Amino acid sequence: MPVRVAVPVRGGGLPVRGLRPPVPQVQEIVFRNFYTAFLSVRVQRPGPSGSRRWVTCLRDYCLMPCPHTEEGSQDYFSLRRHQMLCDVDQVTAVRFILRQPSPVWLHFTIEELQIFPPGQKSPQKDFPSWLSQLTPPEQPASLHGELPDPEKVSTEVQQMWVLTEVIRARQAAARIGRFDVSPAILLVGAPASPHFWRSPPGGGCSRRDGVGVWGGLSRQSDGAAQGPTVALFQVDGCYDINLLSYT
Amino acid sequence: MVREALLKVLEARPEEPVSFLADYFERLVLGSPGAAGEAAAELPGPPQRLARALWYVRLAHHSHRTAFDSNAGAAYEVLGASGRRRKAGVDGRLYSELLRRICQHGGAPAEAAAALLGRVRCRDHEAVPFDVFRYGVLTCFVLLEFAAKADALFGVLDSGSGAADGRVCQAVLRALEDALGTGNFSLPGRYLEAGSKLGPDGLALAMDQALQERKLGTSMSRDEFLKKATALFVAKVKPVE
Repeated sequence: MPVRVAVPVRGGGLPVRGLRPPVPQVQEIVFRNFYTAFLSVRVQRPGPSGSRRWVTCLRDYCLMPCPHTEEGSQDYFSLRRHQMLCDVDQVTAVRFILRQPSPVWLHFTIEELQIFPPGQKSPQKDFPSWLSQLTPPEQPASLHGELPDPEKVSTEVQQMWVLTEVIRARQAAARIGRFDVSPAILLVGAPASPHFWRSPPGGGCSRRDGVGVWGGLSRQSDGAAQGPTVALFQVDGCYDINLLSYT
Repeated sequence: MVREALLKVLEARPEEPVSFLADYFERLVLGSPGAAGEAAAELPGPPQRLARALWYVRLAHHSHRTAFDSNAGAAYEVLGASGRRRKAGVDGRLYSELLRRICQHGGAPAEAAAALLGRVRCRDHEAVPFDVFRYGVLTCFVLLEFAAKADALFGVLDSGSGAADGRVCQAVLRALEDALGTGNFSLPGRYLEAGSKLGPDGLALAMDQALQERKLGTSMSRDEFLKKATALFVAKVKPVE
């Protein structure tokens, strides 16, 4: 369960950040550095006699090999249990002590702090059921005689499957540009040389509010058009134009 | 002229190049009497255009994608060439007619062809862009091949007797539909899954189970099997919009 903290610090020095994690056990601490050179981590644990005491579990962990330079200054770091000096179970508080001795960087902090308890596994993808059925448990008894040859059947069926998949994957990228009429006109792409033809009167023209439109074609002269089609509309003079707008 | 003829030979890759060339030149001469020197003769009417376009798209198998695409382009040009009385462009009527003729000469059942045409058709007045044209033509040819494969499959299923056991046919069709239906994974995963479902073991198991489930089933005729199989195919075709 991640824990987020955002505490800005400034000045070269020794900022301390405290956390009260909701989980008592710590498996991993993940954070993103921002120009902090050294990190110390102390955890508060219940002592033998019931009192709580602070224990250093990480001492001067080097985040930036050279504090004056950029190396490691914005890296992501991950601290695991086994890297820590002490046992990090039953933790009631965590303290991060950041050190940046260089005067070059005025502000330094750590960001995106996340603490993970143990027991979290990476999410498993769904295991496909067909993978577990690769070897059939038993061979059918009456395999021969009544049944047609499975090899031949399988060959044909698989070829049929491939043909269907080929078609299913393809789709006409271009659109006819069917419109059920609105006064807006759409112009897409750059026509090489537009050609138009008339539609038969009364058929193929949708009319609404006295405006009729029909589709024209821009013919790509190279014959292998891959780009967007052009839907260019032109209004015949015999209709009353109420509204004409370009989108 | 010779250059274009050679280009055609390269595109079509016929089994007999010499007779193909002879046929080509003969057609050229017949198509434009008195203008044999021109490479692309201007054909007067729609029927000749359709015939020429049909010839173009039949040259290469649809799996030879580049050859098929360039042939489709040539057919589109021929269909859309401007004539004396009509403006240039391919409209829905010509396109639908071409598709109908393509499907007519194949072994696909009429209902499947009609259903497919219903999906990829354009209205008569609409302008057909090249991409849609190519898609429609390709789909028709793939349907024809699919029907041929279904026919061969039926030949295996009935073991030469002419009528196959209905249960077995249903089981095989159901397996195919199942393999087509699942599409959750990316493409390589889908191939693997289909391969495992449609392998000989899986199919044998499915067929055996079908035989054991019901005691005696009705037999299925070739036509009925073809209809059901091609219906599966047509269902997967994306309609043109």
